Amino acid sequence: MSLALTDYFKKEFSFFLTKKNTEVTEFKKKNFEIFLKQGFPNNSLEEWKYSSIINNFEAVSDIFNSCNKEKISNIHFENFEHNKIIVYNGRFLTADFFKDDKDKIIVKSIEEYFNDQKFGYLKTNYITKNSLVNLNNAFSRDGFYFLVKENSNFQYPIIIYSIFDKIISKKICFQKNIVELEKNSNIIIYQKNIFNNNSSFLNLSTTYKIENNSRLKNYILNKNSLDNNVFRYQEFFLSKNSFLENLTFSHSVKNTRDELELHLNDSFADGNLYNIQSLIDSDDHEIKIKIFHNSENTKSNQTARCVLDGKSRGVYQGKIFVDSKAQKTDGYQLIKSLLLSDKANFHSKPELEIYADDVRCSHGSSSSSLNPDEIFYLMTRGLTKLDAKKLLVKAYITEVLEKIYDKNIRNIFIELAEKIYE
Amino acid sequence: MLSIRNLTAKIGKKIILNDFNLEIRKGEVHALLGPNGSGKSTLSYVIAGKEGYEVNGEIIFKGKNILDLSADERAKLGVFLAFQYPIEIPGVLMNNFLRTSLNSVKKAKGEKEIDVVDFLKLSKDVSQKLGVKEEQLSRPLNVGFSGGEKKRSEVLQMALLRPEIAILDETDSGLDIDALKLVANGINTLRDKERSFLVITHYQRLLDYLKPDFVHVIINGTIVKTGCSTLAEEIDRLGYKNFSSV
Repeated sequence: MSLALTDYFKKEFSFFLTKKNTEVTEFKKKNFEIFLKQGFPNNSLEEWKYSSIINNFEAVSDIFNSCNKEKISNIHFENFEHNKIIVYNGRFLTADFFKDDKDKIIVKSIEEYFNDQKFGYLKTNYITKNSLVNLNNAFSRDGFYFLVKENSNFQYPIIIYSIFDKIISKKICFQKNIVELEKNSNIIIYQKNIFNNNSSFLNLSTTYKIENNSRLKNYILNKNSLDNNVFRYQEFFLSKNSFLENLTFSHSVKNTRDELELHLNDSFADGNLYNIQSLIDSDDHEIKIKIFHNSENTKSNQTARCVLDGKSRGVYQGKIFVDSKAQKTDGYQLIKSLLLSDKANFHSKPELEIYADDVRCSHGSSSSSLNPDEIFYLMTRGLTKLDAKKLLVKAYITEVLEKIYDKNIRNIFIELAEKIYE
Repeated sequence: MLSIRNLTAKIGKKIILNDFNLEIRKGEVHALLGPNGSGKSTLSYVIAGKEGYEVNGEIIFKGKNILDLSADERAKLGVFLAFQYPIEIPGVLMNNFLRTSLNSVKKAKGEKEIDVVDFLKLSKDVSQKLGVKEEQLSRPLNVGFSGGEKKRSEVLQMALLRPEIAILDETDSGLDIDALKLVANGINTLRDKERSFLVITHYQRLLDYLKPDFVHVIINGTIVKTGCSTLAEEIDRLGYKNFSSV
């Protein structure tokens, strides 16, 4: 199937070959060449060993092309004050910001951004070995671009409502986003993904560039209970003294690969990656993380809590790479999984690759089931066995959720955690 | 109130409680002493309803054999176990847990559940009486608590749930003298003619404050002697060498 799909992409890409040579078309061509050279990933490659998304393309037919006429209604907005961005089937539709926050940010579609011909940072993608990212770079026309201006502190968080509708069922959808934080800025983003489509292949890629002394808190709700294949790629580039807090809460997720690369490029860059995985039935979710400590005195933290029930399968592959010049690196990784069923399974592969000699790196991974002594303790206080289990699962996850800075967003996730194991 | 008859408990082939008998009437305080491995904690677990034991005999509480009831059903009926090693649960705030627990018991009794405001007032009041720091209530359950804080937390839970029979499993272990007095005072304030206690301990010093009505010695899963507080003093002086299994 992937061979037929490759032929299909070749045919579709011929459109770009007729376009005049600009930096954008060069970028796309280059990426498509790399894709063709590498081909579709397959399970014989170590990096894709546990991926289910690459084997499920039977249902997809062609690439979805959005148009400007799309209108949506009935969005369930969160009931606290926030700035809104609406993305529909990958296409940026509207931005609605409070007056005080409006002048601090530029928001536009990725198409406009491409037309502006200013995408210096995207060039980094030329070197990616990930052929699905190359494919995204070659084909994506939809998505959003943010520029948070220098010295900006936002009064309210930004919520991105990203809705995928039935119209893209059985289609391939590419989305490319870029988020840039100029110096000394501070922003909170909550990305709420709503999937109403079915049997689609979604290839979503976001590049975040965080300049000196800037802070990004980025939270993603990942819920894909329908039969879609989702490949979400995020790459973060952190400059001097910048800070990242990134949390992905994956609840009831089928055939999804979340891949993240964190580049700590200058001293005192600090990246914190939190992942919550809550899987049931035949859910299948894969987390792939690579952290590059490229400069001295950089810090990274990976914390994951995975709860698996039914016949679900969870995968966490996390690698910390420390460059020879990245002395005084502090890298921490702790992956914990809780198996609620005998048929659920979890694959964890923590890796360290260190070329500097004065570093502190640790990694740990554990899998367990619920502790019967804890259940008994709670039952002696009047909780039924089911309530005791629910409380323990919630507690297991809440320990990570408590780290979320924004109270309103933290409460959204905690409420979600309460519904797990119902 | 609580009548334990011919109780046997074993795990696999290992017999831990062997034809154990005990009668506790309303308002009585019983102390149970015994060497390590004599079956004291197992008895407390079996009364509270821990799974994993093969149990025979009867535990009659309020006229009902509770052996077929689950641990939560026993708690709702009025059985409380203060653990020797209270469990730490990160992620569960003590205040939230205590209210959930109290409301589970209230609901089972057909009483009106307590709202957040009233609960905070109640928990603050009871905490002060027991010397439990208020900030302890907003921390995760037993996480990072000292040994003394954990034991006081158990007594606080008991004071809130107001059980009819409370089993205190070595609640005095690991306590300094001031903490011991606080815990003993907490237990004494809960004593009334309707509530009974089974106090499991290794030491005389807690009993100095609690003044039990009866003292029992357990060896190899069986009570080998019953007496008054002088029996505890004797054990404190001479140990268990003069006792043997029946």
